[in-house]
Amino acid sequence: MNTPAHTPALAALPDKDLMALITQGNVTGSATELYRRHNRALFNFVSWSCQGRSFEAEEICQKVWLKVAHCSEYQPAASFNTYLYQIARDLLADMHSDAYDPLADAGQEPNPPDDDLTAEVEADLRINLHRVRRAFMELPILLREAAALRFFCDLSLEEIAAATGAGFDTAKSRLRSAFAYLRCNLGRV
Amino acid sequence: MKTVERFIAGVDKLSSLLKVMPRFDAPSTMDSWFASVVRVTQDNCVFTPEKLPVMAPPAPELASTLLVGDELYEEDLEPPSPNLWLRPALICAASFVGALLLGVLVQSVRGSSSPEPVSRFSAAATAPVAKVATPIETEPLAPPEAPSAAAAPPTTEAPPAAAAPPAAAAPTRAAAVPAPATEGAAAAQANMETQSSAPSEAASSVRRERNAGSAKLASEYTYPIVAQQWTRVTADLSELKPTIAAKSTQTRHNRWFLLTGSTRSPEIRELASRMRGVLPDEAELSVLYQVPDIPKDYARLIPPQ
Repeated sequence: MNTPAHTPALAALPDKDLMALITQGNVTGSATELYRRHNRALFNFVSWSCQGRSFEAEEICQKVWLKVAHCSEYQPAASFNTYLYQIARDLLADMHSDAYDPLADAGQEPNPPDDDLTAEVEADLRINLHRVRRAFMELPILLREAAALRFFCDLSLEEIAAATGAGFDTAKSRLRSAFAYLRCNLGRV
Repeated sequence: MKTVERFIAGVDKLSSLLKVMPRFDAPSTMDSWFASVVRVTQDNCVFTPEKLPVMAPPAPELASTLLVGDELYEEDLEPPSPNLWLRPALICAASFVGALLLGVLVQSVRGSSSPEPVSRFSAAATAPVAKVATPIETEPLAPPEAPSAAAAPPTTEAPPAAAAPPAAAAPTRAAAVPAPATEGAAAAQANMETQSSAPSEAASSVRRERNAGSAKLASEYTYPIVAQQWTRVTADLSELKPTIAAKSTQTRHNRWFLLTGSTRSPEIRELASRMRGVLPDEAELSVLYQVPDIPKDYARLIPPQ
């Protein structure tokens, strides 16, 4: 990575301490460490949210990191992950305001079967991962972002709720809906 | 546990499929971009007096050529420095010495037939050099298209009338003088060409040229104020703006402002104290600062490393 030199002392600090350093003017090492930790997951989240348009994802990620690097006030009320994805989500929502309408995912939710995928279907999907990808991309944006935060960014339900500005139950409901869509779409060979 | 609960917990087959899906990789250019961002941000965050001359944009070297008799004197005007208040004194001294030499030379050429007393000419030349009172015109800042536009100083020009030489010139002298590199040098050269015929007029031309040079130097004594450090003081600056923004310029991006004022003004001095910078006692100062918003395409302003 062509970023400034890695500092072992900073690598041991938690995210909120690194953010505190940034607000005090120690930008280079702290921001680099945060970038090193979170950029891959952030880029994935934004890319999934942008339907894989990498140019758009890169632009949004750059704006996110600019906000982080120029942050002068940081209140660690929640985890840094939440703060980071909240910025990204706000930018995405600005860009695609119509898609982020809360009523957008209020359509008819399919009824998924209550059993897990069969071994045959799972083996087939592992060979044809593009089917999984396509099904994931077809999810409504609010469901897709919840699932992306859960499975590609390893956020907990509480963090997803905080990052998306929704309640805990809403976040859980979105994951349930995402499961229903995916299960119905991928349940057949 | 129901399947959907296992899915949310990430322990079912569907979630395991999601986890093995190929990820999106950030382009490698993003890493170098980020390295530039943190470097520039860090540079702009630390704003110490030691760093001030480094951050100040380099001024073009002004070389004024003085041709007195058959001798060629060259004087280089150094780029602006924090002790700019010394410059008027130096200019006065240089003017005095130059005029004295010129007067003696002219008198020796004319011999006893010249009724022009040396003292009179010297007195004219050593009159107090006007401090930087020439108004500095501020041009609208160029939109931040090029990377250097973010940190580059505003283009301020000295009034051309102050440095404009008279139209008449002695062609025989002009051939012996090297081509001037700057407008100031051209003005000085033209001044020198007229000196042989009209010494007192030449002295005033020299003085005008000096003043123009000083004004230009002062106008280039510019603090590029960018990024986060200054976003903290711009709130207070909004109170100062009405008083010192007579020559403020706002770009079409509405994010960069140029304030120009005398360093005598309390507002500018207050600004300097916040900057922890050292200001000259007498100068015009242009201050470029940024409003809190980060420009939308700030990323494109980062100079390529």
